[in-house]
Amino acid sequence: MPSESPLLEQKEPLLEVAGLSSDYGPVRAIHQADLQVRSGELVAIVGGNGAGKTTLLHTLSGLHPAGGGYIRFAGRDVTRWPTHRIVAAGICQVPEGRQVFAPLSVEDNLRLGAYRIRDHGWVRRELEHVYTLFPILAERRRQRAGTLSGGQQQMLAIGRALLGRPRLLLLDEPSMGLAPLLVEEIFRVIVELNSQSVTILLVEQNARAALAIAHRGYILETGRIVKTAPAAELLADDAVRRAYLGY
Amino acid sequence: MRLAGFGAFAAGVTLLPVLFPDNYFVTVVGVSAGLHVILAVGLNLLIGYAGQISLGHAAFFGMGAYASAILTTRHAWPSLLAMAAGLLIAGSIAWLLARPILRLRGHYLAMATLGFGIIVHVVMVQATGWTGGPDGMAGIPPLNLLGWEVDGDRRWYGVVSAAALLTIWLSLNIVDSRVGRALRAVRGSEFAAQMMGIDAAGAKTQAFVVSALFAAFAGSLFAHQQAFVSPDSFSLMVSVDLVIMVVLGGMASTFGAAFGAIALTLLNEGLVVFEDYEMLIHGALLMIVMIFLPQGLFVGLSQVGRRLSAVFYCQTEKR
Repeated sequence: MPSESPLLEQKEPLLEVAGLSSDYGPVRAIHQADLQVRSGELVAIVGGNGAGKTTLLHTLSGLHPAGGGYIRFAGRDVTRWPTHRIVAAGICQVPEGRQVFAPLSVEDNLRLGAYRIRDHGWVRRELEHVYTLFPILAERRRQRAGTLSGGQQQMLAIGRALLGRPRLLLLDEPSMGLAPLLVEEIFRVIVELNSQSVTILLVEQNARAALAIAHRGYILETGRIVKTAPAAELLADDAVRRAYLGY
Repeated sequence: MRLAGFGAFAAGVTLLPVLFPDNYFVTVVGVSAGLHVILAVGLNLLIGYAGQISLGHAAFFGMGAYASAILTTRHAWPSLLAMAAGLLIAGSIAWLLARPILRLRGHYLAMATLGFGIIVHVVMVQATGWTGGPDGMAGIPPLNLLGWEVDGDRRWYGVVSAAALLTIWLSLNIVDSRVGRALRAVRGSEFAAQMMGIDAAGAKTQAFVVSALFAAFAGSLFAHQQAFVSPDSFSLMVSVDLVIMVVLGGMASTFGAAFGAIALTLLNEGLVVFEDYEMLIHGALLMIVMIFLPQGLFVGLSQVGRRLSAVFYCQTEKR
């Protein structure tokens, strides 16, 4: 159940994005986006195909250069940082379409997630945590990641990101290509992680499922953020319902 | 498994000259095969693990060789110091080249490395003041290991075998380390690797520099062993042969690369008797291997072996 957004009284949000633009050559894909995520929140960005959701996430994580505006994370301006520094600062991403390393074992995939982390004790504990979160991964720890089913690969991608010790977890379309039952399972885990105080920014085409678990939501349309409100309000909003929820 | 493989390889290398003393194929071809092992194992880190092609690897081989040749003959440097200088030069050039060149992908990277190999070859031929030009340089003194002169086929067999085993051992360790995992991640998906916090450009640069260092090391040994160097030994065909060794043995397998290097060396040596038809048979054999064992000889044959033993196991189970 969506609850009140936690810690609304926090002075500075964990992630603060203002006037962010992003381009593909001469084509502007993101226009002047403003966005905040506070510590402990679960925020959803919903929008249709081609609205710019993935580009927005890639710009946040430095995989795509920002064309203007700024990104502040945990009090630092990270707008022009290379991806590996942004990851080290604590923004970890679960990419669209999973992108697990198919020839490597499940456990090697997870260990790669902890590439930046030198605290081996922590990595061992977090590995156990991921295995309790997704018992199927523990069963298949020696198996090649490419042999897992789509849902299991999604679990692996989430586990891999968790091993990066995220202060902010970016999830790109985790429901993509999964059966409804699996989507439910993945979303249940997302809520559980958030309740374990992982801050999450979730990008989804499946607006209903995303807004049902989020505290707040942003609606992205052709590269512009057109609306933002508590998720429950968005779910009740007539225009949003017609455009994204289909009733 | 890894240690067992290494042990078996080391035992084989040590036993060969005992079983076949003064056999041409062991002490002469063996040395040449050993140098190729060093080159192929190094190149495999770049091609097999980091997933980057290089069609100019003979350039680094040549840099190591010419550094040793020039510094020991003209400037009377001790051979180990000259070898170190060769490694430094090749490593620095690889490092400077890595960022701009490894930004390219696929065919473009192949073209760029090809161009680099050609440029270095042209310098070897044209800079006659330094390199002796197309005639090469003769009279390179033997390798001197802290007072122990490496001369004669048997000593060379020992030194090159030890060097080859060292590079195999280094490669196995690199592959199994954090850096090795990063390289395999970059090969899988550069994008996803970056999301893991891997500096993809940095990881590729490391692989490029390490493989250049291996090549320069082999080059220095080669110069001393032959006592003569000429541009012919570092031509485009040599670069191509090195890539063939890696692919023939099986990419992303250290033992595969070593196996490929030995196989191709023996093949080239064995085909000499066919004279005019040598290249024809050479090419045909490569095509046959790639069609029937596309994962390479070593990886492919070990898979066939595993399948056969599984079939055998099933049949004995039934009884």
